[in-house]
Amino acid sequence: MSSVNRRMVLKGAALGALAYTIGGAEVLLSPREAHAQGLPLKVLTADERVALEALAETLLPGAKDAGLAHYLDQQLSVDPSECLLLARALGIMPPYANFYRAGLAGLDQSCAKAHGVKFAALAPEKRNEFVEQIRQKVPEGWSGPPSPFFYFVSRGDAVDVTYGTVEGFERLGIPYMPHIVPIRKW
Amino acid sequence: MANEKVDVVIVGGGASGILLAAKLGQAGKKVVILEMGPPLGLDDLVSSQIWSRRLKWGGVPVVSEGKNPVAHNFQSGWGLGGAAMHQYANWPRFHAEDFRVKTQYGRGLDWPISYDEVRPYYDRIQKEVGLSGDHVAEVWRPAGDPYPMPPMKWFRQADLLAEGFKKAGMRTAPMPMAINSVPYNGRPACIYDGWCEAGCPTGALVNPQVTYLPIAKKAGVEIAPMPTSRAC
Repeated sequence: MSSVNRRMVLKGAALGALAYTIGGAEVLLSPREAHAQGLPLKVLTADERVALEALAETLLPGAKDAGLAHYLDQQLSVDPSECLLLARALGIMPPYANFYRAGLAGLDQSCAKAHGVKFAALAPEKRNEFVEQIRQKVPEGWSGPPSPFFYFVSRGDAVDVTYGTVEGFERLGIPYMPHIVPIRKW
Repeated sequence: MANEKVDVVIVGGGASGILLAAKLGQAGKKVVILEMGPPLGLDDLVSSQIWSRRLKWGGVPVVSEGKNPVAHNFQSGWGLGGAAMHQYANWPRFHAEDFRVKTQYGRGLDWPISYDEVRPYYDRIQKEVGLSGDHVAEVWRPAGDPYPMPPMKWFRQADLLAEGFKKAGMRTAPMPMAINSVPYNGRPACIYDGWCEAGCPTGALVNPQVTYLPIAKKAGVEIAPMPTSRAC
């Protein structure tokens, strides 16, 4: 089989499926499917999810429905040696949940300091403005990892879940052309 | 093999450990490599930026600080083959002055060896593993044998960069790459589809899985898991 034909065959493989638990049984779903089915999160709290999804949707519209919260939560639930998050590639110290918890808390705390409400309660245009601020420098009231770095990592996660898969490449109109497609569960 | 006597124990199956094991094995030594990461193979080099993070460090957290920090960072690898499994394959040589930075620039440390002493090994390794490049265009390159393969193809962005440098009175040259521009040593040529850092399973890009690991295994080198303790 030529490499081009092989790629066409592999194109339909299950890239992007994560292992989730439904009714005690482990199933493979994409983060988008897990989000659509409303599966409960294992690691992130309800407040953290709200802040995360608001941030992600501001950074990259579509990231929430692409299942960012489920992607991140599932990856935070596995051993660091199995983790696929950008945090690992950047050398962030595990457990990675600490990084996200601190960053999301910093986001809400600094937003409350500046605007009197948590980040998710801001109007969309105000969210954009505030994210631009945290991208450039650490705002007053922020705690946790430096806000520009947290911005960078969060943006990377949003890009990963939205465009980092075969489905995402197709939305961008870019041929994926893999040698080996990930067909095992994440 | 718990009580078996060996000549050499190598801790860590990365680029240098596997190279050393191969050479010692070929010299008749009984060698064991202790590797704490997963026993990766070429089929683990999945074409995905997300999946490639499994090639990054996944062991016990390493704190690198203090007066003499260890060289451990986000580039550190995890598993058989180590960091060389997810490299971009840019392999330029050090220049003679790079060995004397303290003397010349008052920074860092001088090496206890010179370029002239290292040169034969540069020439040897580029022939053994295969480097692509243009030694003539690289006018700044220190003395050495020509690369065994012609340079990799370059594309429009390289042309644009070259034009800009030329306008500024400077020049460019193809980067010396540890990637096959043509078939070499039984390994295929690169097909330019950009999965270098995710790990190249075709064998076009140099990694220990396609260079010295097969030699080491043929020479009887044993790869054994290294027992570790881990605090969560």
